[in-house]
Amino acid sequence: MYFFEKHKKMSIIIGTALVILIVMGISVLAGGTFFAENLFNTVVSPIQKGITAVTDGVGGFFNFLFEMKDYKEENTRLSKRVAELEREQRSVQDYREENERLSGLLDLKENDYSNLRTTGATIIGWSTDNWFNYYTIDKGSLDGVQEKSMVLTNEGLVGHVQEVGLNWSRIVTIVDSSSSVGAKVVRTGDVALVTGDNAYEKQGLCKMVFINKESQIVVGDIIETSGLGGVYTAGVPIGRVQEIVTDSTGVSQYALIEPLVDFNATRHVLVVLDTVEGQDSGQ
Amino acid sequence: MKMLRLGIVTFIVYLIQTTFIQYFAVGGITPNLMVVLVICFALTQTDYKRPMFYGLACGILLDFSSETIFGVHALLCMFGALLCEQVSTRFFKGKFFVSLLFVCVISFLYEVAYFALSFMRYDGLSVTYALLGVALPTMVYNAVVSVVVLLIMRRGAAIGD
Repeated sequence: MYFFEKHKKMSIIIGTALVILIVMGISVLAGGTFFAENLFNTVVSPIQKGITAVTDGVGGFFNFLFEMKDYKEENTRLSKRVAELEREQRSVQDYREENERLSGLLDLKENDYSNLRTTGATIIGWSTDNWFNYYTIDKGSLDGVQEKSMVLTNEGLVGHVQEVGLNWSRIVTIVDSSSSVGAKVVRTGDVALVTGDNAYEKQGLCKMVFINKESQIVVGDIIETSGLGGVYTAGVPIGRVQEIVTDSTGVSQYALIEPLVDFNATRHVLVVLDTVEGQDSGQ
Repeated sequence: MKMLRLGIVTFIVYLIQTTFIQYFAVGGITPNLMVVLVICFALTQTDYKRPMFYGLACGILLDFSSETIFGVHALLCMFGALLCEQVSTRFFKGKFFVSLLFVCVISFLYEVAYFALSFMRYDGLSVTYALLGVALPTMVYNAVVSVVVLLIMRRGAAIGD
């Protein structure tokens, strides 16, 4: 006791540090979402939602004023593009019918992600540091969201749910260093892995690795999910090949993928309520 | 009353950090307002307990909205605050530019320690990019923000006197 009295300051500091280390250990071993974290975020998320709604409104108003001229030009460009896509859609429909007929003959089972149950969610929070790339959304377990639920937008894949609270969830995006997605080159069928990389994260790019050295992948190729890995359903667009990089030995190569989703501008996402395990078991 | 005011300000800063600070990103880098607050508060204190537990509280708030292991921010903020308080009591008494220098040093050490603790389990990370592309710009941005925070704190202290 005399020792602690004599070294009171050091005892308090070391004692507090030990408590924190024990909590860290429990957090690692227990996994899941810490109870206190869940409680705190359940209370705070409606406030974040309100703030984000206000700032998005204000930001949107000023964006509209500054970018009005650009909207007119983009409108003209997009109208032309819609007409082109409508022409392509007619020929794609013929290919789709032929594909379905042949798939039926081969008795192939196909994952069609457009038929999955989804719920819309709004992004109410972002990473508090510059190392990770994740969002907080305003839907949680009360809305049917589960861990590993896939998250996407109309453009393509955003990521998956990492943590779930009652009325909030945390999404890890595909550009985050911890993310990895089983992927496929749509044109050639080559399978690979799309991962986040801290060196490219700030540019909003992902890295595609384990590309077969005989692969005919080129810049501009569309990458989609392969369905391998147990988290993401097959057929969800991920991005486009921006650059193919060969390492200094010339033996292996990787590709830089530009996601189809603009992570800076995205404010609303779709959360797939059926996880891959649930889909496979028919739930 | 003073602690209540500090608590309210801290919570508001936390909400800003988790929501619209993204609009102020420069090259994808945002300042860490909570760390700036912890460092600036600690630099004005002479007793170790207040900055230590304030750093702990701010770190816990950051852990609540962080993807990494719960407790990492709490540990780093606590020791960062203790280091700042030691500097404050031993080396200078409220010199503005020395405060700014220590915001830079502690910010950089904080980011490096956070990177080391959070990314130990990953392979193939670019350490050079982590230091030059993230830690250093974050340090600079934190320093810019801390100018405002330090001036507000000094003005608040002067009004209090």
